[in-house]
Amino acid sequence: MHPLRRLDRSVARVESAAAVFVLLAMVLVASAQALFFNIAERDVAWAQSLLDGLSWADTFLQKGTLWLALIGASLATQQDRHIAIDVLPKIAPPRARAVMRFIASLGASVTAFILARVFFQACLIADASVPFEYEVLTAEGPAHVCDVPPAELGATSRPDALCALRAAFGAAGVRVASGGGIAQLIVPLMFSVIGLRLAMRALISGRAALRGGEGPGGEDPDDSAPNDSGDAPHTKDADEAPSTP
Amino acid sequence: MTSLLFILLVLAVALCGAPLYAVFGALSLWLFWTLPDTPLSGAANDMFSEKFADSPLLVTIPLFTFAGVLLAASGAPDRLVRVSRALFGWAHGGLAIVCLVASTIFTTFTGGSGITIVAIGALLFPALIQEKYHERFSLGLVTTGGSLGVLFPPSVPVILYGVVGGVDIEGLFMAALLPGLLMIVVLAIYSSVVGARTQVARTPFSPREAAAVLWWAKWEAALPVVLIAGLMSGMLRIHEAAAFTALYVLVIELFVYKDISLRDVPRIAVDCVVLVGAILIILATAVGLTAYLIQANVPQTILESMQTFIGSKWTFLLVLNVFLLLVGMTMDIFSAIVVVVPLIVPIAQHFGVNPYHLGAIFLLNLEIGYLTPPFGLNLFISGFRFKRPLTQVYPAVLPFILLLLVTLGITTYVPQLSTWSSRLSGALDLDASTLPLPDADLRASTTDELTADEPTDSETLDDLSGETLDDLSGETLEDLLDAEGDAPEDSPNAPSADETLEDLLGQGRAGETLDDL
Repeated sequence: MHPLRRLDRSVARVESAAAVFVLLAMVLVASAQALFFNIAERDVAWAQSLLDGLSWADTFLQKGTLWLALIGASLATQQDRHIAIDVLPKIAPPRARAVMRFIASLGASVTAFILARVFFQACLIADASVPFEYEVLTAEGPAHVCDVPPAELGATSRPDALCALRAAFGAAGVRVASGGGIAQLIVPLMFSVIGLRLAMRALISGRAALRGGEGPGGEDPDDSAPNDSGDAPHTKDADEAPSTP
Repeated sequence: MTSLLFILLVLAVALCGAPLYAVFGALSLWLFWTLPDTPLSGAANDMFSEKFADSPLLVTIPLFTFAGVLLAASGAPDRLVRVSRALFGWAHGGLAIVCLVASTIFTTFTGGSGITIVAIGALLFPALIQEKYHERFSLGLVTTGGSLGVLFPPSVPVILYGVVGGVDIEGLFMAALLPGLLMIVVLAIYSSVVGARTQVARTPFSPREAAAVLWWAKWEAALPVVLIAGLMSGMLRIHEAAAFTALYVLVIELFVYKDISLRDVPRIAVDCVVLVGAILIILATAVGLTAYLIQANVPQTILESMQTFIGSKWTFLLVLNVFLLLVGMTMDIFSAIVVVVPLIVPIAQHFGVNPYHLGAIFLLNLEIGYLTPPFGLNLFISGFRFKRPLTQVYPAVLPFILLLLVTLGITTYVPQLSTWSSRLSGALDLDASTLPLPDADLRASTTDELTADEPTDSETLDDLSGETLDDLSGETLEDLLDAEGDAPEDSPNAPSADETLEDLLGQGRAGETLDDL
């Protein structure tokens, strides 16, 4: 197997693991939210305190959806299962198909990289202002709780994990103010991964086009991950559909 | 000129089979580039707003899809078919009706039309042939079955429509309920006629058998009941209901029916995430396109040019249907919702179409679009799954398309089918012309209409003139409503108007709970 493809698969494995974790966590968190809410409604103290402990749940669910959307899109790229207008490639002869695939992958790859950049800037803008819950009033005016020396904080507690992440991202030149803001960075990250995957496909199909089209089994059999559900947004289905005589 | 060249280039790349999100992404990038004073990143920021990432409905899509994928991977399709068969197998065309009912329920919960054809159609197609239904009819039936149920939440298209169109899901559900049922009834009658004419054998109804099968499938059969009860009672918010559904299905399939082993769960979860990702990334990049269309006043421009030749709401609806059918034929349902809904909603509002009525029409059109040659998605999936050439699938679905078009016509020109609930007009924009109900005068909030209908109250109403409802404090409004309610003449529906206006005030909450129902 080509080393690039091996890398691609390893990345996909990490993505899958993250996706499964986030999805199951979302199911459990939202269910717990509903459960505690309904028990707390009946004036049960422990349920109320558990519910208060889940105050991050709504943000988590929103950002989790973002993660699933972007990781899913990246995996869909890897498995070649994106929704696309693929009538022409379907009826084209092998060489033309390889050329079309090259053009499509290259164009999509460039777009994905530009989108990654634009969304990165948007992430920074979206997370530029200090969120209300992390705002501390100091002598010099309002400041982020992580930027205030612990001595001046007084009774306010310091979110240590967030501050560590903020410092780490800050060292890389990325200013983030909240957990949600950090989570949003998945968008530019995954768009970059998608861009790389598409560039790889452009390379493969470009080579196939130069060689005179794909072989009898399609130009890269490794590309189609095993998938037996045969569901809707699935270009493979259409690819293999019997053509009209 | 460069714009035109660029758009042609993007189109060429799209036709080469580039993923749709890249196409939308490239278009929105370019369009924002050409706009003066609009930084790209500012436009991209929309994606992190409530228009996409922060929409409370978006969370439900992966959760409901997970439940659906789990159901599809389990023995649920088989149980569903057996239950429907025990309940409907006695009728003329019984098995065909079984197919309609089972497909509808299955699509509703899995959200995707392809899964239904593969899971339910694959079970029923051989059975239909075995019972001597014509192959053409059977093929058309299972292909059509794949798109039924799209009208009912929690199907993904309905939720997506709610997100993009900014209407609440419960309202959309009630608006689409009767048209959806009508559609199934029409198709069931057709199936009965075909069944009777081809003299297909019938299985007599056996209460004992029905009870036994229902008991066997009780855990899955309880799901819709539990879900609706949870939502109606306000115990579950919509995203909690989605999570609950996923958890419930996971538990019963893992531990009660044992159709799925714990080891299968990661694979199924990844499958779900890929499906969700393929849909949501289109929505994410299209948010930019939508923002551009609105910033560039495209809906207004279309509206102005339309006004020169479209005078009435009814002509508008006719044109809309033709347009949407064309959209459904060429675009997949998700991109269609994302791109077309923001264009159409303001125009429809201008012509006084109830937004929920519009939703029902829109979804019904796209549902038909799944089946419409040459590019309807179901045709490809069905042809692929049942190993039939498209030339054989096209004629098979034609009678079904015609019947669905009849339903569409009824849905379009009998708005009461979609707007029967007082709740549905309650969430309307405060424009009297958008209230088609007979008792519209009570719900109308513009002063003109009220004064015209109820001169006795003109004093109170004069105070209101020029003000919009939003400007009024809740108290003032309640006072006003009391006055309306006390007026003995011509106010039989005062309580309902009361509710409606309270709904209006509570619009911020709407969409969170079903309390109001």
